[in-house]
Amino acid sequence: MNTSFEKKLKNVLQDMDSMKTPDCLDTNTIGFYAESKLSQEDKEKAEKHLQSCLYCLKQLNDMQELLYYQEHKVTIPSKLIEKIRGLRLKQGEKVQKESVAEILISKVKNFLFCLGSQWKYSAVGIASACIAVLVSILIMKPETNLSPVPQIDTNSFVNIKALSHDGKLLNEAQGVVVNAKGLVASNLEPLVGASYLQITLRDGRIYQTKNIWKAEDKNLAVMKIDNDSLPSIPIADINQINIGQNVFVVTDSSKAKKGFKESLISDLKPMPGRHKDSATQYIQLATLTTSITKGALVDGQGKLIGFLMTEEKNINMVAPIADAERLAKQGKAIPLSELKHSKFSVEALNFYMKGILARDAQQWDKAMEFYKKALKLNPNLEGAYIELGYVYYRLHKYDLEAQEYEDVLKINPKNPDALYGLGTNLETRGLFKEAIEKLEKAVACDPDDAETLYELGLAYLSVGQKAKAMALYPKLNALDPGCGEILRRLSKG
Amino acid sequence: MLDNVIEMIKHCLSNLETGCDALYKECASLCINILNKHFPILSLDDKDDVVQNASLKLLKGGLKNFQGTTKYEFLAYLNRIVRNEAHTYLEYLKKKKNIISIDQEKDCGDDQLPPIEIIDPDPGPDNPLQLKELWRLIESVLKDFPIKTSQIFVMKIDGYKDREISDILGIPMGTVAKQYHQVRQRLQQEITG
Repeated sequence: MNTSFEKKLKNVLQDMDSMKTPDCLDTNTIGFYAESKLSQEDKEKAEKHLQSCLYCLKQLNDMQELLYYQEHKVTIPSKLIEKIRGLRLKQGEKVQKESVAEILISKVKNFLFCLGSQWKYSAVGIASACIAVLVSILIMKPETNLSPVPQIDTNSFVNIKALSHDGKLLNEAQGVVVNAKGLVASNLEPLVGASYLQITLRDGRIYQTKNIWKAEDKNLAVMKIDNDSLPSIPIADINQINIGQNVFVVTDSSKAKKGFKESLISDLKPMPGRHKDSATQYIQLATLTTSITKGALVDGQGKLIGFLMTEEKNINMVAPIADAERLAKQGKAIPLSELKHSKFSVEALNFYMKGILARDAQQWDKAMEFYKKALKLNPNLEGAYIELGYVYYRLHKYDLEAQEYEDVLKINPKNPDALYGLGTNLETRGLFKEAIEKLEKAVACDPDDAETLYELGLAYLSVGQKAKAMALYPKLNALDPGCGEILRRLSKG
Repeated sequence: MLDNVIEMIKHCLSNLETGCDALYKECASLCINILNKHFPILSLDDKDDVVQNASLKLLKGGLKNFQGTTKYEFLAYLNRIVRNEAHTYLEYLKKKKNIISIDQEKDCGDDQLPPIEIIDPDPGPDNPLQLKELWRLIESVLKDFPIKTSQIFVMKIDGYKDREISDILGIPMGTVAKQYHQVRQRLQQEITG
């Protein structure tokens, strides 16, 4: 880098405030633009100004940086939190001390005075209180669910029996019909070891299947029933789910209130690897107060969000249900017999999830340790390789990163995340032709992923294939107009 | 999340003892991120002190005086407070030890090592008029590029590393380098005529 040239340019940014004009955008417009929340008309106006105003571009960068920091929180040392809390208490101390002391003394005085002078009334009062407590314990049943439980279509819940080749019941699981074409989703773990599955609908109809689609890193299994008119559950839009939202785990769909366990969403874990969009890969629930629960997760309107996938206390992760349909699109279902020799283990999944939590806290060494432990227990855990690749990416070890993606492709040559990761890795290393090959495969596996299309377009441009890049424009523009426009301009330039 | 920051501030002001936890956790995380990026010279303990000072400032009227209505305004407000507090703290350290230069906090703008300082035979514009001319020239060049590319260029000359730009703007590192190079080349052509 020619530092003297950069220095000259940097000087320009030093006296930024003097360059502000009355036409410059205000903080809110910049914020809304950064989060793509402006109307089309306002967006065009803002873009017109941004294209010719260095000051506003700098403000936009600052805002995007702050929004990024807001999304990617760092772990605050507990010592620091305590110190900040101490600051607050010091501020509120004066008022609190006097008022609490005064109130306490007056209450004690009143109570003693009352006991001494009006002992008959006191005795009657205490006796009534005791009777009320006894009545509430013995007769009245405590209400466990404070929030109203959602109305769900119980007909879309099915019972799945995992059976051995001689018809012996090995395990039972809860399943949900996720679309009218007969796609049923469930947890994978209860089905491992079965020779065939028996799916029983609420109305008594019974179906059998020997094939499933599976995602071991999501503890998710998907199977297809040959019937086109099944009662399916409405699916929640994952983009509308917010942290802090109340949700319900359906432990038993046949029981009105007792079959639901209330929880709330504590975090949304984004896609790993080089994916930069805000797609949610896992949903984390606040620690469930009672014993460990498994089942489908629904929102307040009874729409399906996903399946609770982990079994370890304090790691309540949910795989979004959108993954079920994505899985079914990716290839043929595999025979259940293949799963008999699978090394699927819940323990490996727990290590994998611990790795994700460590990755989220930017504790790269710890994350790496957990992923490696997970892979030792289950070498087929594709997600753990991709996550490990991401850790190497963050540590700038691009060769090792590529190796992890290649390991995934040995297990599943059609894994779109691994193909995308490897494609962008090769692109970063300047190996554009190889990158194109991988990205083309990724597009073939997942044709609706805007990011992959965009990256492929950029890779085409890097080797001068403008026509090929432009051929991607119509589809990319329909999926993501922002990326589409950038690609169009770059292709023309 | 700070989406309902006004409610969080109201809740905090109405109950200083227990109502501020959520807001302060959000703010502390943001403060540390800002300090990590823009004030790497500060030690971990120093950063803790700055976060505490900024928190105290918010508590002693900063929250009451906040006039904004959205999270964007609050983010910009908090950013200013943290940066001011960090500068004040560095001044204090400078006075105390008399060895730290505030200029050290500025990032070198390269990805690996700080650039070696060489006496520049053509030191570039140093008077305001020349700076303004260069400013206008950059603006006219950036008009021909998409906004994302312009953002990459501005961040790059502002000293951000490729990895940071890639994370903040959500673009692969290869693209960052490629697009910066395109603008830089064009600008050099314009300058040299």
